[in-house]
Amino acid sequence: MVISVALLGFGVSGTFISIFQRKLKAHFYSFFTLFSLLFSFSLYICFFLSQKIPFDPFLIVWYKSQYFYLLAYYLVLFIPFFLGASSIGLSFLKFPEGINKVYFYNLLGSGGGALGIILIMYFLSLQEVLFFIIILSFFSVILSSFNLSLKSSIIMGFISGICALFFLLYPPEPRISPYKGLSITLKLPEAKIIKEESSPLSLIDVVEAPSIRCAPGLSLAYKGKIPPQIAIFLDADSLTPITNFQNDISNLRYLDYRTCALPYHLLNEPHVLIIGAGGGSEVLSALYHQAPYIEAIEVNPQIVKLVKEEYGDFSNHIYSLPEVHVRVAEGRGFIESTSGNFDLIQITLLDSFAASSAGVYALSESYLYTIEAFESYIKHLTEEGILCITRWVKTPPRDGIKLFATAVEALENLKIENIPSHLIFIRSWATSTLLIKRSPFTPSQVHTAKEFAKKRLFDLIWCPSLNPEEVNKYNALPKAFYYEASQKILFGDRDSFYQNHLFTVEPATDNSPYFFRFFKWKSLPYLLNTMGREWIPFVEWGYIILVFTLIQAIIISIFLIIFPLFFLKKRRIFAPHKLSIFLYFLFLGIGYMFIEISFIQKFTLFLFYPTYAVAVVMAAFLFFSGWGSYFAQKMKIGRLDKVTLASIMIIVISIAYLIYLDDIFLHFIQFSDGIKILFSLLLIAPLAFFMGIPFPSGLKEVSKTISPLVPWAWGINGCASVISTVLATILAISLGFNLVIFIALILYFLASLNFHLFGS
Amino acid sequence: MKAQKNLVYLAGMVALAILLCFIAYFFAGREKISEEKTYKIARERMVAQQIEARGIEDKRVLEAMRNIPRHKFVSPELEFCAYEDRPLPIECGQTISQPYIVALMTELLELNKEDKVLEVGTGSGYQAAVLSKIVSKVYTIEIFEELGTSAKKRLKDLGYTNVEVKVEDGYYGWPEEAPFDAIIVTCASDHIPPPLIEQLKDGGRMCIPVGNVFQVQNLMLVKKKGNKISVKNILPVRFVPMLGEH
Repeated sequence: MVISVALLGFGVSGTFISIFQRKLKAHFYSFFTLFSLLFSFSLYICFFLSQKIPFDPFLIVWYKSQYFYLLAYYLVLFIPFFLGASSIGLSFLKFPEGINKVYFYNLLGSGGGALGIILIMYFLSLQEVLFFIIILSFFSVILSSFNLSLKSSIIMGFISGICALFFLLYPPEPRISPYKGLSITLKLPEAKIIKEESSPLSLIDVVEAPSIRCAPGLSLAYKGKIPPQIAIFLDADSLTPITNFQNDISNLRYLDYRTCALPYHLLNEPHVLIIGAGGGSEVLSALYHQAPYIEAIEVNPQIVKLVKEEYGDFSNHIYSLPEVHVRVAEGRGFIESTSGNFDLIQITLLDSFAASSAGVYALSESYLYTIEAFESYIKHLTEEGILCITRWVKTPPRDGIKLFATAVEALENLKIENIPSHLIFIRSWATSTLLIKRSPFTPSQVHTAKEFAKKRLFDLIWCPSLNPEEVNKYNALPKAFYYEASQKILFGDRDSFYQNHLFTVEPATDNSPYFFRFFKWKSLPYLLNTMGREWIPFVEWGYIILVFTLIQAIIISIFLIIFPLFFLKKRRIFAPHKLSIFLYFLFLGIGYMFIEISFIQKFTLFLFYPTYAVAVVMAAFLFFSGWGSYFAQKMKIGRLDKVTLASIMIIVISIAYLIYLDDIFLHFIQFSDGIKILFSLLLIAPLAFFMGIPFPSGLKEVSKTISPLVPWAWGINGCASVISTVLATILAISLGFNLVIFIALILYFLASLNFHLFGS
Repeated sequence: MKAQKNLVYLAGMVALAILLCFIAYFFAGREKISEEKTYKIARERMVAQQIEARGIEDKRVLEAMRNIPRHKFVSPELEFCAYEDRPLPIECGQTISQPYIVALMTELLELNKEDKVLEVGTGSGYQAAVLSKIVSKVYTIEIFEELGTSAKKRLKDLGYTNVEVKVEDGYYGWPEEAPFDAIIVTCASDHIPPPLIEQLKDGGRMCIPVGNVFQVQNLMLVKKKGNKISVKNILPVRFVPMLGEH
């Protein structure tokens, strides 16, 4: 949505400049200064306003007004992009002879900004980052005012100074939904934030309150206490506790009353790998069960630092114990790069139940729960090793079923025989835990698992030699949904089961890594039918927002970019290939964004942090496309040949990446973040370079032959870019990113054919 | 003569003012009556369309919900939608549950007139008010002081005398008054507090909604019999997993 908003700003500014170009050009410096000044103001004002919009995803199924708030968000955030883009566009208008240089500097700045913001966010808080950007923009105001009279320069300098001071003294407060975990916890008696930190990865709040007790899915059979805890909130929602067990391991008995404690009863002194160590609950569980070697992986360095240093005393220094080895890494990345094998790989509950059940993560990619990831985990198990994955139990059942299907397909891909004997699956009232063993479970292990479940009132979903009478006993659902699903996946017609299920329960893959997406278009009529009649609507709001964003992107971009072009001076344009021109810029707009968005997702697997992937891929595309357009003008070959050459190269490089990118990633995955970022930039460089050629070449051709169509070309391209940014994600969810890239390549091919029609 | 005229004029004005006041008072009263009537109709409609239509049969529950002014348990700006088929936000990031959920939870507890019920999470006090019409005594605990204090006052003002409100951490239940015939937990938690299970009478029932405050996914009905604890998950009414089955 954010990329789409930014592109809308650029698209609308193009149309705006086309309409008022004469006036704007005549008073260039005045307008440039004015737009820069308004841009600076808008950064503050629009951020302030956006925080006043009471948009709350949790309310979207109940309050229709939320759709208007979402629209308001889109429009408010669009304003700074429009003003900033107008300043840039004005420069193109004023200096047509130096357009390459201006374009190049613009892209250099954009690329630098995309990467620089990540760096800055390590040192500054959110509000300070905003202030930093405002100060930068005020500099541009002062610089441009030097071309005006001395009096104007002084006035601009004065205004900038006063406003900067005001913005510094009254920074806009970010709004946190009152329904997020942090907001609710802070209202508890004696609750207070004792530490707040921000980074490009997340906003972290450490909260202290006597009533904080975290034990997800604790058995109803547990009678006892939970030791004191403090809560670490990530982005004001996901909670991970730090537990003070007072150096007495018996205080951790409650950890044995969770479904994820089962593998410890089947293994003897296991070497454990924990993915998602967080505040240390699973490390404590491993310690409680006397694991002699614990490798704890945590993606967020700030959390590790908090547990290890600042709250080291409170956590009883668990991350400094000799048997605990903490590493800052992303789980999937670590497993792909490590050569070690483990007796137990524990993948913990990483998301909050509230957000998860509401479908908040429906659009989040996760490379932890794909078939390929499961294969990697299993390969890193010792011969008797167990992979243990825990998920929230959702109603209607879907997470657990998808998890089970993923395990079965991963085992099939590894050519493991007698798959049912490698699986044990249990559930409590709140969590389900799946155990996948590299070798078959022994009868004694199955017996232990059954006893473990019985004592803790957990239900068996699947285990070898399971009797149908043994299922759905303690946490009774109206029907044994989970058991039935596991039977169909293991022994039935799996494909027709996937096809007919109300939700998407077929496994996620690296190509379409949407484990949390359960929505199915086919089920929409049924889901709509349930709205109002049942007690909750089952539609996931993450998906609703995406679809609504697409609709509003289409309407707004047509209304603000294309529609105003009809107000251009009426003059009938006689051009033989108007349709070809239209299609050329339409295809380029869609193709470019499809490839860029797909690459952002693909590089998330390599760089692990989505924030890094967005910044690096965008920076690379902006920067190297800039170079491409710059060199395109210098090439001593015809424009027709340039576009053909560029299209061929785009298709060849993309196909090569489609085939080899995963292997390339595998070879470089163990390198440091810095090297991987550099390598990513280099990987994208040739593709982005050639993708920078067709658009300016086409524009130049149009301006030479049918110049009144130039604004239209800009407008159509901008409109297509805005829409395709959102459309790419929608298509990728259903079709996978490889197919989205393939569609983009077809569009590039068609674009080059169209260029042959109108090009000289 | 002129002074007399003025006096008559003044007296006339005063009389007119008094008359207008009477008229205003009369219409204001009528307005009030008509507002109450409107809400009564809304309640009847709520019970018929949202609760009875979805299969709630317990007459005492239906009667309680017909009579309790739900609009007095929400903030004035939300009064107009108090009887709509949805949860409503109250203070502290909490909600007053969808009317159907309130009715279903109450029905699931299979309450008797002489029962003693514990509610954890008073909120605005609406659920406690419904319970108070059915059982002999309701104990309700609210952790948020802001909510607890206003609910206590509201319940007292509205005449629900058999409800005790306490502002405290509900995790530990109300041991002084335990055991309870039924417990209703209306606040979200990632686990069920062990002390609550202990404070449930032999043969007692506990009802807990699962999900975030705006999307109750299912209701857990916990039953205690001797040392045995069983849980029944009450799902959305017509959930069927396979597309072909509906």
